[in-house]
Amino acid sequence: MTEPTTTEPGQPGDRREFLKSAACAVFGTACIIPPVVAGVTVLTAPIRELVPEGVKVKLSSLDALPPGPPRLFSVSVERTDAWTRHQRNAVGAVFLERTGERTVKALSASCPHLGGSIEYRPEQKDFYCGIHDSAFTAQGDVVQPSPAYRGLDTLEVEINAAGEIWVVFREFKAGIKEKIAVG
Amino acid sequence: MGLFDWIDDRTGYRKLLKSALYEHVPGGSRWRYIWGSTLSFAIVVQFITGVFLWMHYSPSAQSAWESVYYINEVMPGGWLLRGIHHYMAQLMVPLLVLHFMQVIIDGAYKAPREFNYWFGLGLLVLVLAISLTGYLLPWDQRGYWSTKVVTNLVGNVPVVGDAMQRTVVGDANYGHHTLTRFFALHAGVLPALLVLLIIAHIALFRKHGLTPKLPKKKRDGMFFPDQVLMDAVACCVVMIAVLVLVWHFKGAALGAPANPAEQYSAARPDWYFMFLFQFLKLKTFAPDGPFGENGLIVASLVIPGLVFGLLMLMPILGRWKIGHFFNVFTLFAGLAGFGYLTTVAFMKDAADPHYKAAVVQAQKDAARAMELAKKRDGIPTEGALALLRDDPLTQGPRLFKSQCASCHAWDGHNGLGEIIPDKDRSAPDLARFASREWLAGFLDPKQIETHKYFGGTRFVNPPPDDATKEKMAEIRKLLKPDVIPAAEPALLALATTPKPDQAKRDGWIATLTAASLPDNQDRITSLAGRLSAQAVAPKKSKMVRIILDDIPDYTAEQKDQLNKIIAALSAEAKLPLQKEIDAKDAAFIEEGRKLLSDVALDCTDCHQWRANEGGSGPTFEGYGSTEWLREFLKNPAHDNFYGKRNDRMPAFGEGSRLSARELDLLIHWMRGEE
Repeated sequence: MTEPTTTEPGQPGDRREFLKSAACAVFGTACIIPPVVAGVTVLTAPIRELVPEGVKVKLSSLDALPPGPPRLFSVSVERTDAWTRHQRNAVGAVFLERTGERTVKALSASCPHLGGSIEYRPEQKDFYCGIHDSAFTAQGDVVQPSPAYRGLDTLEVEINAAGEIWVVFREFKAGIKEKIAVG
Repeated sequence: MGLFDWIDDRTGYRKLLKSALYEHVPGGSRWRYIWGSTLSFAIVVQFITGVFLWMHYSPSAQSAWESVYYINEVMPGGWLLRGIHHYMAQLMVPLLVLHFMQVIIDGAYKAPREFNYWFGLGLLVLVLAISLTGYLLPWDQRGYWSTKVVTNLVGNVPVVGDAMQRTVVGDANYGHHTLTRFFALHAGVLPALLVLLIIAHIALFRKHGLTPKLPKKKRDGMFFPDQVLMDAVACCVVMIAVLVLVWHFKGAALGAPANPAEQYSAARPDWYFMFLFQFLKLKTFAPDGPFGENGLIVASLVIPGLVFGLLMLMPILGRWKIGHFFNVFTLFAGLAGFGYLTTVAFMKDAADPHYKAAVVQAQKDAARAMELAKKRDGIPTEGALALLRDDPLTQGPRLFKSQCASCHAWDGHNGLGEIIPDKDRSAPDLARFASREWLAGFLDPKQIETHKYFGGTRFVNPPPDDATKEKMAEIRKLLKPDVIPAAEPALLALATTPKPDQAKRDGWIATLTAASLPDNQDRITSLAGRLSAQAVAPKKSKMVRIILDDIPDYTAEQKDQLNKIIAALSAEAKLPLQKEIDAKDAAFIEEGRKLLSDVALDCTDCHQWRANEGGSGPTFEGYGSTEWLREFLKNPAHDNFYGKRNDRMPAFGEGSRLSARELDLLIHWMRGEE
């Protein structure tokens, strides 16, 4: 039986062996690049998408919203979720409060701490998130001590001539002090 | 102590790496040893692409096709990802065959490597099972109907077949659980088994070492770097081949969404299973063949089982003196059989017009479903099938084929591309009905008698009168029943050609006497002579006579009037394809309308128009419009259309042949509306 060929460092074949090893690395890496690149491109597609505009949605009318404590409205919009086109797809909830004859305040029902769902407590007259005990005043400001960095997110409200209440529904990045729209 | 030393101290990775790379290669590196590595590489690529696809695939009857569509057509890079997964799966089969050939030819299956060989056979079965389960996942027509054949074969396994079929399908019928089960098998259970077997396969390979091809041409070497370099280059070549296929075919095809209500006659397995498909079709296994009702079991279970058993026995057979020769011979005989059956299957399909039409239709449906999904910014919650179910462009041709094509044609075919011979067309071709082009052709003396218009109708070829029919029937009784159809043209010519040329007349009579029953010749000659003497040419319809006799004599002014009337009549249809030209020619059309109101060219003698009540012809009011077609199809015998003269056009009204929805789909398609 013949002996295996080996090359010790510093011998004349050393450079040749190094080139062979380098070629192994180049070809070995090259052949696996296409599937990895294709997969990562697909996987990271959402990162490259633009932040969508807010959706303007009719939630109520002045007649149906008398002055009083805030009321919760669910928001359903026409929406395409990946491949499915929904005619009415629930995307979130909004508190509406009548603040004047033709003025309405809209607050997102998503907790600015980490996105939990907010409820209104009539006895305490405050907003509350049961996940990490964040509380907010009836005006939406943070009640200290609180894990939340900012108050409840206000949403743009439009009231048309017919008294319909339209809200521009948006989602904002949770866990930070600034109010940055993300969807 | 450096970082790598620290890691090595705790993991011993250097020793592991060394034992992996510095394996002894007897006779040095060779290109013929690359197949196992390329197969391993292919499996790694399938794992990588499969995991990314898994993140975006949704296994349910309403979302499988839809999510694959989304990956393929919408997600950036999705077509490439799915393309690599698909074509690597295709290439794995030849790689498996090459690896298997190397093992058999080099005798690598012999002692002490029997178990490694058997593990390899297990891997072969697993790879094919993964391919098979993956074929269904896109939930398109091809995968759906092909896999249904396979699960029905499973159902035919004696004793446990039904239970096995139900277990695999997840229900009595295909549905959500078929997909969840196939997906779990494809992406979970089978790959896990594959990994276990690969570990065992490679461990045993390392234990026994490589089987060198003798005689050795070089000195012994190490696995790294020489053989690794060859393997890496080969893997690059495999990847390049896959990318070329992906590029050439623009990714992996996705068929039309699976439709359990629509049989797909072009359902075929992937190419590497086509030999089995063809094998099942052999007459030997038909119910009237030597195996009787067991033919299906013998073809799908017994023979493949015996072949696999033979493969399993190869290491034992190889111990005999001529065993190795027998194994190599069996290998090549098997490959020849595989090649032969595969070629026959593809050649038969290539020569089958029905198969080709079904493939074209499926491609059209697939493209249409994707087009609609893009146009409508998504797919309804009911799934992609709903897009096609409510689409005139998809359903119209099918309804035309089933309801109209027994008399009418559409551009010469049956709506779905199958040509209808002239002899089977007894009504006009309805492509672009009511357009200016269609009406101008209709009123053209050179075209009216062609099969595009009235060539196959009784308006051009009216039947003889009742008295003549009786005389013809008397002659028929004297003919041999089996040759009556052949003699019919001669009989009809005699009955409907007044004062024919003597030679022709004698020829027709000779045809009849030749078809005579014994001893009837004289009587036939006498009756046929009398029939010819009294022959009457039946009158063509009034409309046909006007077109043939009057229109050629029109003055230039009348021809101009006719063109305006055609434009006005066609504008009644409000066809989308003429929208622009109708708007442009508004004044011209208005003149045509006025001519009709002024009874120009006597059209309104028969056809109702505005205040003119008309007569027996179909109304011109709204001619060819949606409403006109709907009312006409509901009841062609209405006074507004054919009236009592209607003798063959069936009523398609609600509660009869078509529902209101189907009627609308057909009409919208005929009018070129989406």
